[in-house]
Amino acid sequence: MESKKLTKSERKMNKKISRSRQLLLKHEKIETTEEVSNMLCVYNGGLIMGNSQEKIQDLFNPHGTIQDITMVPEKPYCFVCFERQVDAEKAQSILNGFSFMNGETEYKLCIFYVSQVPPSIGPTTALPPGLILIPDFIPETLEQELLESIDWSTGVDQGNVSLKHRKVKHYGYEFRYDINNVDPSCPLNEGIPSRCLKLLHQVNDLGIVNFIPDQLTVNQYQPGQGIPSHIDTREAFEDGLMSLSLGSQVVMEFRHPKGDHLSVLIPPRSLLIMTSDSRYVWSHGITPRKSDIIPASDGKFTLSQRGIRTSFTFRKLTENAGIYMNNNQPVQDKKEKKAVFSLPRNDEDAVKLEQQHVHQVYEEIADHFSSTRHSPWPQIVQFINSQPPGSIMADIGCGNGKYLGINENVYSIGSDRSYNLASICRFRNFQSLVSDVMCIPLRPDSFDVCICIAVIHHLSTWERRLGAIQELVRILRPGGQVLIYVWALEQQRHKEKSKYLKQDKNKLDSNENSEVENEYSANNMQINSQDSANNMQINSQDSDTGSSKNIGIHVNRTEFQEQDMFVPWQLKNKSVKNAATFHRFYHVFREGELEDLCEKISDCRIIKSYYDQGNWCIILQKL
Amino acid sequence: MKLLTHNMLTSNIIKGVKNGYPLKIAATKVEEREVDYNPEFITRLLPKLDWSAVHKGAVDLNKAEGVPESMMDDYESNEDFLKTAHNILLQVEIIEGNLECPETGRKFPITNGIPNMLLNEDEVSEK
Repeated sequence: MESKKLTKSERKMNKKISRSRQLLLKHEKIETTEEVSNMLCVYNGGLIMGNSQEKIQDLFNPHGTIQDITMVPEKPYCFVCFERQVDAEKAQSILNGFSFMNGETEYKLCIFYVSQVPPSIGPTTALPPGLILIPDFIPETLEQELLESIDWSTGVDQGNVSLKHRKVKHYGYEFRYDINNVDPSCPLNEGIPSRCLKLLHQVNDLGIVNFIPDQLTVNQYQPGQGIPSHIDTREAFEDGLMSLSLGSQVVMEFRHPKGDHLSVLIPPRSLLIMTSDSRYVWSHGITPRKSDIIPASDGKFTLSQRGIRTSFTFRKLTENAGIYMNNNQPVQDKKEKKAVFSLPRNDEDAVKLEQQHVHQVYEEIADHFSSTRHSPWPQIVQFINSQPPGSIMADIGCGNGKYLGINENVYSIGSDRSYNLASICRFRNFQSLVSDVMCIPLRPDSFDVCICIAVIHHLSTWERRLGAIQELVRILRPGGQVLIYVWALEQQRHKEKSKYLKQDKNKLDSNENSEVENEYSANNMQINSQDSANNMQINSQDSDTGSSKNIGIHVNRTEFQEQDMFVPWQLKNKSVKNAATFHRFYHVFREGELEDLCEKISDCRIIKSYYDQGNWCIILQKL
Repeated sequence: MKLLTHNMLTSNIIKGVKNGYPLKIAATKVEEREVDYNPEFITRLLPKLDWSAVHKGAVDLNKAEGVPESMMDDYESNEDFLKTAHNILLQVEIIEGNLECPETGRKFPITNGIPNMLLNEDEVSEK
């Protein structure tokens, strides 16, 4: 026989592909093609199959330059567009049939070419809640006038800032990218230009916002430039951010922490107003690329080249603008930032280290961090669900609040050191406050239950770790219980590797039920060899600064070499070169160390201690 | 921030402050949000609270009308009281304003419904 006989699994795969193809055509009106194109539809690669944009990116990235990835809310599939057809072909041939686990079930990716960009991949007409887009807000003459009015040649003191990826100029107050805040005590010489103020009064007349902004940032983007996904500093600016778009069109990406993604076409001369959810919950960004997919007159979509785009973003400072800067997050210049890299010898150094390498990092990565934390951990859920109705619970270091809504018969209060994380809780309708685990502003002897998950390992001295646990016990009523989780030095138990150690870079593991693993999937996806090289560099530079033992930088997916280290976190997205890498400090616990610490506390006893997926865990009861 | 959360807060983390309770509320924006009424839940919660602080908070918010100064003995069977308690504890939300330490006057800002209870290093009490 001439034709190659197909193996059983090949036949099965072929059947699967043809079935998925029919489904797509029938339900989604997405026509697939045998002809090679640069666009791929990845069946089973969608959000409801437990995948994320990062995972898909990590999987497809090695095969060529990706133009865009679109995750469609509540769908089993997603789309990957390569810049070059030949790369799409390579990715298709290698990854078709790629198997991964979603929970207990094994799935395989089915990848086909699509001839036409399906409507779902172009910008939507749907907007995130609270987003208002007013097209043709100003005439072309005024557009020209505004563009010519910006003097890019003046110095930094005039509000000009040069960033790697775009040109920026500030009016009213400088937005400081180093602290993500403004300094209300340092207004710039130049306020908002009067031509703009006139426009702002016009906006006011629309009745959407009831204030006149006092801060303006002008951004200029060349084709191919963008801005990473972010939420404008919540405590620094009022609800109602206004952005006037001049020059080229652009597609702005809005992302919800739960994974929803909307691409919104921003036409020239339009005014975009972000209020409520679109301002506080959804992050927004611009993918750096040279063209956008935009609707064409015939109802289909077409590719449009980007030109130079200039945006005028108007914001109003809140009463609390700059509060972290003055109050708790001292401004540090870059030199100083590198000074604290050895293990702290006293409390003062410890506070400094944690401020830079725990608190500031979480503040900066809050949104990205939150988007990687969806699934609550089963044994923690079980603990919370075992509490009697009417219990009052404190979640100290609550992060994005994934444990605050577990048991609706328990009154839960979350506390986090990061204002941005506390905000995310608040927008999920949970009670949250900003406080420090070292001094918890809650009444002593009053809580029935307390949880403290993945917090104590961020404290850099033994005394502070002990002090924190004492605080947790202090707020409990006698008989009340606290559950503590810390990261374990031992990532292998009984010859069984923890899930994150087992995680193979080439495998799409969608199981998300471990804190550690989540953290790692987020990290792993982001870090490539270039970044590791950067890390090493930081490391060697830092070693010049202190005489005592330097804190090393952990290499992902390997066993911990020591108990105190920095764990890198890289902000997405990969397409932005030199994306910021943050280093969080961790002290991982040895077996027995958590128990030893708790035994030093006189008014509690250990109810249970156990190992759970790379963490040491303990339940204490107050006496 | 709900008054039930306020009931659990203290400023005794400040150096030299003994009780720091209850925190005085100066609100500039207060909202009411509907929460499902669950009499069993509220009945179980009430004995854990300091009712006089609930009352004081209600006074600070100008919402003390119908809120008794102290809890009655038969609160479990007093439907009107349970509903009042449900409203003042769970439905009233302080969105903007300040909390004030009753002993030192130190203010803690509430922004977007979130109290910021962080202290400066020099304010922290030695443990």
